[in-house]
Amino acid sequence: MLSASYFAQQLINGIVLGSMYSLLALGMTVVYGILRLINFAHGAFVMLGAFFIYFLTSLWNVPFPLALVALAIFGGVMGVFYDTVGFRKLRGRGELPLLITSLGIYIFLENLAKMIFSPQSYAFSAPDYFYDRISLGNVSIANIDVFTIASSIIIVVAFSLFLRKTKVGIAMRATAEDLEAARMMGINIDKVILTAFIIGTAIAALTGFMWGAKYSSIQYNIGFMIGVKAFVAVVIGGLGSVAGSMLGGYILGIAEILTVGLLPPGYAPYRDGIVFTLLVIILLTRPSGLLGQKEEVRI
Amino acid sequence: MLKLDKVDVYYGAIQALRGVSIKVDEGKVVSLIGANGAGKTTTLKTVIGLLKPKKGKVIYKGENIAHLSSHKRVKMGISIVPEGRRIFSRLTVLENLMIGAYTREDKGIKDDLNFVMDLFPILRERENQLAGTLSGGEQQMLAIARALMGRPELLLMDEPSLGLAPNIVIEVYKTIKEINKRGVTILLVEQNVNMAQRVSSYMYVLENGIVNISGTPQNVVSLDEIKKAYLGG
Ligand SMILES: Nc1ncnc2c1ncn2[C@@H]1O[C@H](COP(=O)(O)OP(=O)(O)O)[C@@H](O)[C@H]1O
Ligand SMILES: [Mg+2]
Repeated sequence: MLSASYFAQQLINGIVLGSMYSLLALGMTVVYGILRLINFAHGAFVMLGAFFIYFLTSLWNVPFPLALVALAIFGGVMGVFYDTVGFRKLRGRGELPLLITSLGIYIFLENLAKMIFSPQSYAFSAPDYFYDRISLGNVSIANIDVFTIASSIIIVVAFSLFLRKTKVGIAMRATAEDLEAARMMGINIDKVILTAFIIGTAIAALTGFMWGAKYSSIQYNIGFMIGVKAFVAVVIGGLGSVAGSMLGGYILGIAEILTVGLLPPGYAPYRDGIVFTLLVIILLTRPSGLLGQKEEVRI
Repeated sequence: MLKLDKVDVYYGAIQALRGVSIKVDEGKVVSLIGANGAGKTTTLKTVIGLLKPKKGKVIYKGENIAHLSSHKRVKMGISIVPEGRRIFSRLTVLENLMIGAYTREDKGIKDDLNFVMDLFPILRERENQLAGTLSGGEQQMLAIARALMGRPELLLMDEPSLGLAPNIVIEVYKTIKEINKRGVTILLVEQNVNMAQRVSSYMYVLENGIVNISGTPQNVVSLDEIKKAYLGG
């Protein structure tokens, strides 16, 4: 029966999933805002991050907090490679080459992972204390869920402050609005773009840990759907809007879980279909997303 | 201060500048006039580093900067007031001004902020407002103030009178004189020849990417072809 506590439990699961989508959507929307790049490879960094911390903790017994720091650094370094190898030479060549490059890099990384890790799935576990549960009346919430929700809020707030209060953050907003004018003002846009990739990719890698910890298993191909869903969250929220990507992430996560949790069991396989239907409905009613600005014609 | 030496610039296969040579001496206001599509903006973009010449030199303070990136040039003391202002409308007035000082690391930024806000008191009043909410004239003031925040030695101005009411145009030109008096060298691009001639000590006329005519404002505006093309008779 659908009790209130069951519903609350599902809602928590939805918020957790939404938190992860929000984090990924944030990284995607920032890169999109500056480069107009739909970053298909974003999900691959989630997968690589998950494997990275899996090997650090499960195999080499690196203490957990240290492993988490290493994971963020690993993510940042991947961002540096991703930008310099993939996009540095494509500046000013239009949006299509960027899109195709990111798709190509996704396919490359997924196949590389398949080769190195084999197609099997790996049992992933975070340290035990992450699975202790805090009870709140009739519902209980695992520490990992608290961790994921809190991290996503902290990261999004920190990033918003970065955009408002720091010199590089303000330059990032200026670059997103008018890249050419930003160059004329002496902003080194290569640095700004690199910073955006580093931040986005580091967040993606950290999300890899949250993903693995929540679903207890990782595989070479988990990145694809994650990336696509994060992009859906970005579009629902409004391309280029930080607050929108957060909102889009939560809506998507909650809608997805409630679909699975509240509809009869036979409907669960349709969760992705339902997600995309939601996308279509929102875009039909609000073409620039919930919080998006209309794309200005660039002259 | 600035010298372009036989500069060729292309957009893909289309040549926009053909052997353009101009000279801007320190402390002067030099203007570059010409019809729509003549290549004026292209010239300024070549000076600020958005476009790289295929041939020729861009010499600034004795150094060929033709292949330096924009941010290095801005750091060397070149600032621009772009065509159409190009202020960042989703940033506040204050943030726009700070972007103007982006390449600077010296301690004088606060003083310069006070200076430009004294020059344009409206910017102080609107400091925390989004720049997109300013009127056209105010946006032009902001674009000029933003360029001054770079503490330029050479200021490039691309049609600063474009789309402004006549009384605002006069205001803008007063400011140009004032800035120049403080020792800033100015390369001014205009279609408004009438205003440009009043502040310039030398003028170049650009036609289809070629400089054919140059001289003092008196000499240039007395030419029949200039009168016909730019001064309505
Ligand atoms: N981004 C561009 N791509 C291709 N051609 C361009 C571009 N920008 C300008 N042009 C061409 O270069 C020529 C000079 O343009 P421009 O420098 O903007 O002229 P002006 O500023 O004098 O009006 C024009 O013929 C214009 O069509
Ligand atoms: Mg022009």
